[in-house]
Amino acid sequence: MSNNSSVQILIRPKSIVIGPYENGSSSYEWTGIKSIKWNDVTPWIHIDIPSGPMLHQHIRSPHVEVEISVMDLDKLHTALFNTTIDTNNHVAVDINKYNRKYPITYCRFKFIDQNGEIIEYSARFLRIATIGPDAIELGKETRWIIRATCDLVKKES
Amino acid sequence: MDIAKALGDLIPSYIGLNILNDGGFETANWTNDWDIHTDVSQNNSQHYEGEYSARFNAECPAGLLRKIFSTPIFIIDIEFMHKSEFTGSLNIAITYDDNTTWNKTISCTTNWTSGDTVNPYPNKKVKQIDIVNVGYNYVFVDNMEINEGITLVVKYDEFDIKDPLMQLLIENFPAKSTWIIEGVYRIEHRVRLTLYRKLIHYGEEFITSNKDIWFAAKKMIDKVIIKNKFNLSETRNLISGTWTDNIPSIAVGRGWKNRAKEPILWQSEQIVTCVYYYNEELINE
Repeated sequence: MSNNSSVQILIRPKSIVIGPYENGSSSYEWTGIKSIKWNDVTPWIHIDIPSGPMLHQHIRSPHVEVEISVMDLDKLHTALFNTTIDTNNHVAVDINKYNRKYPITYCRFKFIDQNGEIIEYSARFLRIATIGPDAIELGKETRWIIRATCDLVKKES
Repeated sequence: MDIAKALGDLIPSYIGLNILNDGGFETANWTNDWDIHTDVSQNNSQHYEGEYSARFNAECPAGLLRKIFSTPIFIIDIEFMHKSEFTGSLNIAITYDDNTTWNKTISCTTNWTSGDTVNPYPNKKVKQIDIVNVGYNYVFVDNMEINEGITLVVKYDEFDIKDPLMQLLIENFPAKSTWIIEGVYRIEHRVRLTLYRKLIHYGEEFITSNKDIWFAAKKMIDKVIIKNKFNLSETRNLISGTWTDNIPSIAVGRGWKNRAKEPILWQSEQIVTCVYYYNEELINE
């Protein structure tokens, strides 16, 4: 099979790697990811001036909103409740006493492209916002939705 | 792309298992070397008068799981013509499709011991077999004396659903391709796996034990396919199917006859789908 290097199509998520160090050491590879999606928010605010010039101001913080869905509860717990994600030994979601959340220092999304190559995206300081089941009901496999925000998502390789 | 071959390489590499043992009819293991058998009728004697022929049948051993696309059985017919003591050595060299070779010197008597094996790579396609007589005495192949090397043309066998007793046939089906963008096609390539099991008698115990083997084999193949969803060579997604029994063959529990004298056969098939992408740089868009 030949390789068309000019086209790169992502075909599935592979894993999310999270860890406490920027260099990616001591990280945990969270597999079994059903889907990942993200969108950044618009930083622009349109200021209306009657009969005047159109003004767009770069006012809002341009963060990224991420939504991850998984089915494997076991790996979800390992990744978010048990894996150290910063040098102060915090976990992403600390439910020991209170429901406290901490930014994840190292976070990479790994995808597979049409050639079978791994494509990596980094998510800078991923902060878990909410975790919850889509719905737990008879006859359907429960899907867990994790919503998060981060500073930016950037293609690494 | 030959997905059937890729699947054919994959499945037996996992199924080196006793579950495919044929209830004592064959005991060798699928992953073992191929055994060399001889069906010489005159064995046990040191001296022979006149001519006779020995058929060295290098065949896939038991489990009797066989795939016809990538590893055909080959048969070496060697004729011995002796008037004196009959011993010697043969060097058998096998050249595979990928140009790798393997060879072994086998002492050659009329009784080939079951420990003599050839072909350690049953998953590779055999291109040619060279046989050299390295011992003394005379060995003839197709009436030619081999004191020097001789190349045999590999005789690929034809597929027979009744023999060996259990086999897996892996067939490519036409692929469906969908244009994605700029020279990239998504290919959904279907492959049919058909498992055949020939029963040799109707004893209740025999039927029961064979059913166990039969279901275990199917389960094992399922397992291999599920485990290798993202692992099959060059494919991105392997989607397993479900087994469909040939209803008359299994529902009656006694097998299926389509002609009066034909042996009973169980048959079950499933179609798996392999997804891969075909990439070609466009000349113009």
